[in-house]
Amino acid sequence: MNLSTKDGMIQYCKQVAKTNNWNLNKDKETLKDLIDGLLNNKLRYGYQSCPCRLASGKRELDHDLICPCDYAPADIKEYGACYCNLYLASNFYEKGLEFLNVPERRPIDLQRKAEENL
Amino acid sequence: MSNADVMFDFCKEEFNIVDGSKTSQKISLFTLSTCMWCKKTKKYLNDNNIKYRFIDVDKIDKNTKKAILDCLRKTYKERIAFPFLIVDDQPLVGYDPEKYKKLIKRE
Repeated sequence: MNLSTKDGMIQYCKQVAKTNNWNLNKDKETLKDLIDGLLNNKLRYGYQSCPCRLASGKRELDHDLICPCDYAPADIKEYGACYCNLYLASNFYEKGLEFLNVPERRPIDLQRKAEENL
Repeated sequence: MSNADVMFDFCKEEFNIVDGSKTSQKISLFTLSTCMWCKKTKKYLNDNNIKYRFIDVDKIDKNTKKAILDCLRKTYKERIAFPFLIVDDQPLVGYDPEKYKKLIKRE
């Protein structure tokens, strides 16, 4: 699949969700915004960095933010959603939630290092 | 002028101004153009006719970006994340409409 196209990015995210037994966000507008954000980052950085976090643009400093980010499995397990709510636990909608603010799990030293090397 | 006005005077040209009539508070918003939480925050402010100014931090030059991050880090105790909303001099990080209702006065 070609991640530099919108269709390719959608297929990629569907595949990630299926492989991990996660749901994709079902809100059409939210999903569109998230896919657009991932595609934008793929096109400008060369990799699909998390759309809700500031990337440095340097792959070696952003590798943990490449979607699905390193923190998604633990966040979905603990909270039911990844940081940006693209991926949701299989039972997310049974809880009656529309969205969920997930605390940042990324270690602060990785964030600071990326911010210092913008 | 609020402290935020003074602090971010160096990047005042970067701010996009969105007009509104329902608050006299000074509202500055730092966002990412790709972030759906940031879009929700802008929509909340727009829908409630609240005047604010914003910068999409991912779209500005790296020196200004670094200066803004330094300024946010030194001034506020919040961890930097987006959206980063400042109402007068009160910071609020993340999309939280319930807190927006409490923090932003309707006039």
